[in-house]
Amino acid sequence: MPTITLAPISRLEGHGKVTIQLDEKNKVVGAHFHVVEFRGFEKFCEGRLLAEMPVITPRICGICPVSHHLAAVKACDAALGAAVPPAAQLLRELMHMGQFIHSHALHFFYLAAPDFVLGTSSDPAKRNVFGLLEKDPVLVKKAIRLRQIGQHLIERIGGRPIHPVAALPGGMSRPLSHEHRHEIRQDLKEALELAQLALTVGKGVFETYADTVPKFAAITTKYMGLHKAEQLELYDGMLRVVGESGSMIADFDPKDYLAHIGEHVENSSYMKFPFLKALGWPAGTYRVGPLARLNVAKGIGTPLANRELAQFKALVPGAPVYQTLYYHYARLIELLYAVERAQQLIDDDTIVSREVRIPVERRAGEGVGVIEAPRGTLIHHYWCDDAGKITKANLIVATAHNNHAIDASVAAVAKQFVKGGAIAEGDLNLVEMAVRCYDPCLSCATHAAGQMPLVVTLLAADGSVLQQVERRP
Amino acid sequence: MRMAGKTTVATAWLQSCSGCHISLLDLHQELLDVLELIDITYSPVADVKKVPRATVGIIEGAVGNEENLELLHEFRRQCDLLIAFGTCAAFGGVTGLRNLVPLDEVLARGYVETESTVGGHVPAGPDIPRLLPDVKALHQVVKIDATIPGCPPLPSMIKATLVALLTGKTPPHHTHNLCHECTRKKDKMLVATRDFVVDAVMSPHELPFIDPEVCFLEQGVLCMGPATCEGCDTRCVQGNMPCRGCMGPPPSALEQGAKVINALSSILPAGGLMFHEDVVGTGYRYSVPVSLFPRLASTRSTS
Repeated sequence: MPTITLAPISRLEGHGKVTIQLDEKNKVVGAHFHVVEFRGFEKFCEGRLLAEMPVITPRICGICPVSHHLAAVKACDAALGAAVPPAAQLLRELMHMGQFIHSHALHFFYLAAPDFVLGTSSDPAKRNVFGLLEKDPVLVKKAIRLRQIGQHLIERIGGRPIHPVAALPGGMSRPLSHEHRHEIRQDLKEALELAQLALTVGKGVFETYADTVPKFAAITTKYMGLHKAEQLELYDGMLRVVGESGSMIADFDPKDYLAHIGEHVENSSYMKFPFLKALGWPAGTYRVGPLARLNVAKGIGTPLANRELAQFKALVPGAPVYQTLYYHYARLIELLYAVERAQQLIDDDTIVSREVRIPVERRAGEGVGVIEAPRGTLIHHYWCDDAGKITKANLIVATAHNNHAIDASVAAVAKQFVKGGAIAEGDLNLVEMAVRCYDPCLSCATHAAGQMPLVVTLLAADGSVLQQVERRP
Repeated sequence: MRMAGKTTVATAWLQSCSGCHISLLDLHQELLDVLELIDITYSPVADVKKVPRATVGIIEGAVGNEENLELLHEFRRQCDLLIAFGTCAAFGGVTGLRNLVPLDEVLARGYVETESTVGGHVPAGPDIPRLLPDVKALHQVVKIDATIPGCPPLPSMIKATLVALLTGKTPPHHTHNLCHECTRKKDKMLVATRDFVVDAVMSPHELPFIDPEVCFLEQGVLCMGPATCEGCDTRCVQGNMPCRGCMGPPPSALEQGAKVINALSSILPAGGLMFHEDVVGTGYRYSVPVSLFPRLASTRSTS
């Protein structure tokens, strides 16, 4: 069977590549997004101290370490039966909002915007954040500032912007000082303006591309995300899955995830493929992340973002917004929510309470910690013995839930642009754009410093090379 | 986009979390100053065969699979100076903890035994690279010219090192341990006594009160400060949590974990330390590939 391989070029570097499968008539039959990295956290965490997991597991991802830090500490709290003081809950959620501000700003301005602002057919050598810097230095400096505000917020609460340390079983290691509270408040005022600016820029882009958006990599799927009383929730709540038409398929306590979610393994990738057990593989696959969360939520508990949500939902009246490119739109609405929610949290006087932790004793136990990472639902599940050591660990990271959807989106793009068993060089970026909608951790950070080079190899059924298309940075 | 007078820089990442690259971005506005000096000609995800000639190569992450190995060799061939960027590159880092367990057991856990996996098998398609039996630090594979330690390194240290290299100066070099820059009070440890300073090893979450001003060791909490290189601004300790050694050992220490056991033997009851705490996972969390003891103590010694 002929195969087109899009290697960004991780064949030898290592984070993701794409294969497009053709049938004998050169028609696209499917696509695979290969994750080529595997580190083995689920095994080497065995024997580690439970209480160290919030410090060890952030090393899974340097872009969303706060999400791992907090999912881990929630799993520890559950395993040890710790009741966390209200101030600590506020501080943890606030730190998490800092994560969303940094991560969503990074993705939109550093990774996605070059395509939109500079144009998808602009010079690949300049189609990156540095090219954007030349074209619109004011905008890029504002983007840098917004991301900085997010990272500073994390640092003031977590001790460090990358791989924070302050959340521990039973609460937080230190209270918030009045000085830091004041600084955070000042920063957030500025962030609110910048987040609104990002949304304005984004909405302008989506209008420009209004013709392209409905068709581009569009697939209909199920959607999963946390919610709290049907409102958008990123820190703690119930997990809900809605179907293609928007009807509720499942709604469960995240600690029961094993009853609902299974993971399938394919030879094509080191990343597993989660699915709903009730529907089986692959019928039970779904999407997570910004688009999914806004499709699950019926409202947003902050005024500005809630108004934006109403506009967003009007794009597809009465059903989930399915257009893959609108992940970017949803991400910007969440960015606005994260700033508004951070303001709500910092304005709550409880947040400066000195009571930020209760001492917790070791015991044997089991705990699940679930949180919405910027890219989707993140699950940590630990078992520990009475010496406080991990006996087993199970992790489902956010990008994994989208694994099947990324394949389907790439196939959808390929069906549009692969003609006569060949793909034009100019269309390579479109395949990459389909992947980038999902903001997969594995490639986006590497991508931050420039353009992702691509090579397409078209193989005939006998394995001989029919065509090789290359785009270099 | 190459401009006269700018130094060409290529960066890549191998097995890691990307945090070092994010820390580079955390220079924020100052990144623009650095970009005045350098021209990034190669971004992380790229074809190994086409790594361009560059004056400086910066590599984040440890070597964990066949692709990592090839890319690292290619960088060495193409770059005049090669920098090990961050603790995974320098010492193996958290990624290196995989060396505690035989590879087949690591893969079996990930793809067969995990509770959520349904009918799993170890992926082995032609599109994904084979893993190496052991994770390695960069210098165990090729010659490295400079190291920027940290998990991740401080943005200020990244900038200082780069600017020094670009202007022909000596990059910052740290020789002391973390206690040297830690401002917490150390009283009891400095008094000559026949007794141990503390009689139990605790996790921070077990303490009734985590004193933000007193040395963690005096509070009975294992802190890796004595066996860890300075240069991180003691951020964890200021966050009221103990050091876990992410800067790696100071130049004088051969093994980070052994160094801390040695340093603590006069303070803590060693038996308590060994029984309660995870000596390998805490003492050697960031340096398993470059150390001897963890391998001897792990299940792999019998395999």
